[in-house]
Amino acid sequence: MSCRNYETILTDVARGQMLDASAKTDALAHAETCGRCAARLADEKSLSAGLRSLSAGAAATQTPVRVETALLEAFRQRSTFVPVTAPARAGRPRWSRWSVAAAAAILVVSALAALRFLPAGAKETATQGARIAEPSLNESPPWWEGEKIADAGEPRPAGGGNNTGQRFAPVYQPQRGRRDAPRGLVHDASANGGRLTSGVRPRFASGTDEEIATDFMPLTYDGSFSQIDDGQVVRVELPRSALHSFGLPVNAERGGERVKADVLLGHDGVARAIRFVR
Amino acid sequence: MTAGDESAFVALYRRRQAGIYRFALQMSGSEAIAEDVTQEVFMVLMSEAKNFDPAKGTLAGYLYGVARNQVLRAMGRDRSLVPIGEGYGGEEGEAAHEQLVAQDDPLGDLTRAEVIDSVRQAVMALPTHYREVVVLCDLHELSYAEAAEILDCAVGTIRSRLHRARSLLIEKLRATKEPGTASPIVNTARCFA
Repeated sequence: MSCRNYETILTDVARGQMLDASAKTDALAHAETCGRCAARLADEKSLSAGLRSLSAGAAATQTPVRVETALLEAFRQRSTFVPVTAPARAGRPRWSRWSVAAAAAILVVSALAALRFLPAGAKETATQGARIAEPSLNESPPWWEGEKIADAGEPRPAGGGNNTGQRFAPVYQPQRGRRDAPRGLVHDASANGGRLTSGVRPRFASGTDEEIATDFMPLTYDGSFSQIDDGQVVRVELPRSALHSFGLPVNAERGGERVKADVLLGHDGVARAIRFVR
Repeated sequence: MTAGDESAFVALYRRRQAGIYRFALQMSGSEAIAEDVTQEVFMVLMSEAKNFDPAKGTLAGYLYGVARNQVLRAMGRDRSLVPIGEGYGGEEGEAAHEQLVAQDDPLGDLTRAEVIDSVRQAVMALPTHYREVVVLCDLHELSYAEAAEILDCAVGTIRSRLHRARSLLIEKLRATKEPGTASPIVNTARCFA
């Protein structure tokens, strides 16, 4: 064996690695005849011994207990969250929230555009229903107009209610730990990522439980949104002028402002209903 | 574990934490970094367990790979810190070393407990790409294939890096014993007879 070949397997010989028996024998035989290669082997073996000692000295080293404590705490926090969401998402596409929000916004705009181009008779019916539902001068202005309507001093027609107008009439509902939802469905955004669940008590962040919302208004012609037992509620912002499309009165001076709305999406991603929120 | 079984997570953590912590400690020389890295490795496992594909490698290899990335990142952030090995050539170090190593054989007493620290400092003074191979193959006794998986390179690269790293270690330890022979360019003693 030449010194060059010896050098290629020197590390493995010194580290006690598995080698071809004949190669190892040749290497050791070469070391007996070559002083410099013998010295190299001795150095390598000494280094291996030193590294083994270093490894053995660190064998008892353990991660501090506080790391395990912190990790366990994090694991438990994750575990309490997983059972709520995991079954609900099974078998469904995992869209990002932004994708869902964008889709919802597009659907709402499409629905509004469709409403604008309704046949005149249908539009008149909706407008009439809304007019009937408008509050009288003796009542408080609708929340979406705030105090400005009263300040403007605009006369509003006296209104009454009938069965056709009630669906479109805003309902003043101070929300205290509960939001209205079709068929007892409760929107628990903090607990399950915005899905509708049944029987889950909602948790609201402080400051958000004073929201006022209208009833859900159908975006479909047959008004079948109340049959939905699985879906998502997505919060969007719309131009205030969109209220007019639903037969709700709008203060023209504030028409350029935006208003929040919750869009109810069915499991197929189609918007079924909308409500306006302040 | 992915289903939220705490006992499974605890069992996995207790089986793997020591190796990960030691790897981070031997790579960085900092207990704080080692602690942070170990915690981060298992946080990653917790949140991205589905990213681990058994077909691509072992769990140990996956954990070491995450740890290596975290260590390199942490060391990059802490470049201002002076590595332990930097002070190795100081006068105090030389005086202490002379008391520990026999005069005739600079590497002969490496097995003595006092010399362990010298070896540790020599390892710390290695360039990172050599140090990680020494730590994995010599200190953690992983195979070339396992190290190659962790470092995402060929087995031949591991072999050549280890050979070069060990030569550097021998030179560093020899230079510590004989300061006059220290050279910034390490020439491994070889004969090609």
